[in-house]
Amino acid sequence: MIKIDSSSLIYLIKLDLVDLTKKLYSEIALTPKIEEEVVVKGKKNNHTDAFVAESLLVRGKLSLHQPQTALPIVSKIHPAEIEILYTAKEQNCIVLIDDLPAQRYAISLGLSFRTVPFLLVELFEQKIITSQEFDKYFEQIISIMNLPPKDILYLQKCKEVLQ
Amino acid sequence: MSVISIRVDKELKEALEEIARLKKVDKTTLIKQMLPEMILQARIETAIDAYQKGATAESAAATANIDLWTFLDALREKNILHHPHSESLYLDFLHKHQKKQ
Repeated sequence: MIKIDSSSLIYLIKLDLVDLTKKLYSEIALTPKIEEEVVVKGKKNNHTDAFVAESLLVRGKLSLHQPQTALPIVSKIHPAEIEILYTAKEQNCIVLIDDLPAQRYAISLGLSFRTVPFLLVELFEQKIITSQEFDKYFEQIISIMNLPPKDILYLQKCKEVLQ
Repeated sequence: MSVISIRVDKELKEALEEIARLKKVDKTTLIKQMLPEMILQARIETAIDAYQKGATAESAAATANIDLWTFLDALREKNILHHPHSESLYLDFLHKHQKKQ
């Protein structure tokens, strides 16, 4: 199972990577605050992909987990990200998070994390996608996420060592 | 409805009158049509500023009271680079695989 934050979920949907991520981790789980950010607020403002997110929840491609513990307030990190990090800690599972401050907080909680670009490396390592598919998603990720040059170089290096 | 009145310089008044004429609306209607987009742009700029100062995308969008979809689309449209991801993921991966070779 992998827990997912709001930005990562939006990027997975935009990149059409939800099904492939499920092949890697069997289950993709979010929390009520993530649902509020992605589905409720997205639908309110007529973002078409927010309806896709809702449909993924209804069809069981995404699951919803309730937090069991009280959550702290942390500067520069959204309460929805805190919620997903703490539910990941409760269940001792990996968390898919998008931003460096949240990644640093995950490390401080002793959590393993992944990022959307790094999923591509894992999918290729596990032979779930071919080299050509890697290149296709790589181009899309660079464009949709507007990745900084260092991330692009690391992704290329990771692919090279796998070939 | 609330009423607000603003003082503008002559050039801005003339520009508003010119656009109102072109769009065949009065000045008040024109300003009412323009304000929501101007407010959204101001919110997006506020969120981008927070993001560039280190807030996460979720937190930056919330600061400016815009939804995350709108903010992520704006980051892309305005060509704002994504925060670099933690290097540790890549470095651990490369270290593991280079040792194998």
